[in-house]
Amino acid sequence: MYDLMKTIHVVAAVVWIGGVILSQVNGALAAKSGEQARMLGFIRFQAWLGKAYFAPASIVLLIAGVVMVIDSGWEFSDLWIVIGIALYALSVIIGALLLTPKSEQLTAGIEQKGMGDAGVQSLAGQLALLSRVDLLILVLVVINMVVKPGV
Amino acid sequence: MTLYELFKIIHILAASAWVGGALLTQIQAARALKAGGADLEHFMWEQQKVGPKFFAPMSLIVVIAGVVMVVDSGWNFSDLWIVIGIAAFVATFITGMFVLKPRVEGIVELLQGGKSPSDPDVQPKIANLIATARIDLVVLFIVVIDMVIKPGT
Repeated sequence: MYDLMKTIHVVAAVVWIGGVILSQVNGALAAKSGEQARMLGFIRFQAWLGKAYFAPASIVLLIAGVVMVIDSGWEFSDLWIVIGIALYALSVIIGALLLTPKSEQLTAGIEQKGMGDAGVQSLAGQLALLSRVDLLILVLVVINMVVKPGV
Repeated sequence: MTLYELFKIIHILAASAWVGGALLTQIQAARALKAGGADLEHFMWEQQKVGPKFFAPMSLIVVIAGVVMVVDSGWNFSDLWIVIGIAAFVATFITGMFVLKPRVEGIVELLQGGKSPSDPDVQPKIANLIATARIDLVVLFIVVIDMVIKPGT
């Protein structure tokens, strides 16, 4: 049971983190191309991924993680599990409350005003920064899960 | 943090980027195939960049960090789960470098030569490329499961 849940947990984490890392690369490529259609396509895809890909992966990861804690000798009060859950919650909040709505705002902004608009560029910069912060949080979760502080 | 933990973190992050990125690419491919036209052309252009500049370096980091971990730990290169991992790495690395990469380049060349993605010469090549990449992805997920379950231990 533990091995099965650990496999599901790790696969969901790989799906989530790998997707975020490649999204950073794809975003940089779209920005570098300087083509509005490519940038729009990328942002629309990210908005879709947020709901249809990253959200399910993050839910599966959480459920498998909770089952693992219940099925093992670990406790929800263990420091590394507390840190993991806190960082998870932070990443989900950033994704749901900031990244997804800002992606939708940026899509609308580019369609109405074009990529050259100062407001659109500012929003694109905010979105890029937020997505990097989100990636950093995920990297911290991986470090936490490997090092297991407090153990 | 020990040397083993440091390389485990590097190994996991690079593997996540590789395997998770490959899955995301399959989703992009399905959407691009459905949309066709400029979307498909852009997808192929993107693959030409991310193959050698993203997936190849990630796969090398995975194997280097993995080798350091084995050398630094009590594991042996003859352990079943490590043999499976290395064999799968070699298979997928060869597939990436000698099958997927030249096929992507060939398709991009056709598209840049003025052929449409829906052209009868191009469409089967794209479908074939995506099918091959899907087999490669299955191998990658088997490696992830192998690394978690560690058969033989």
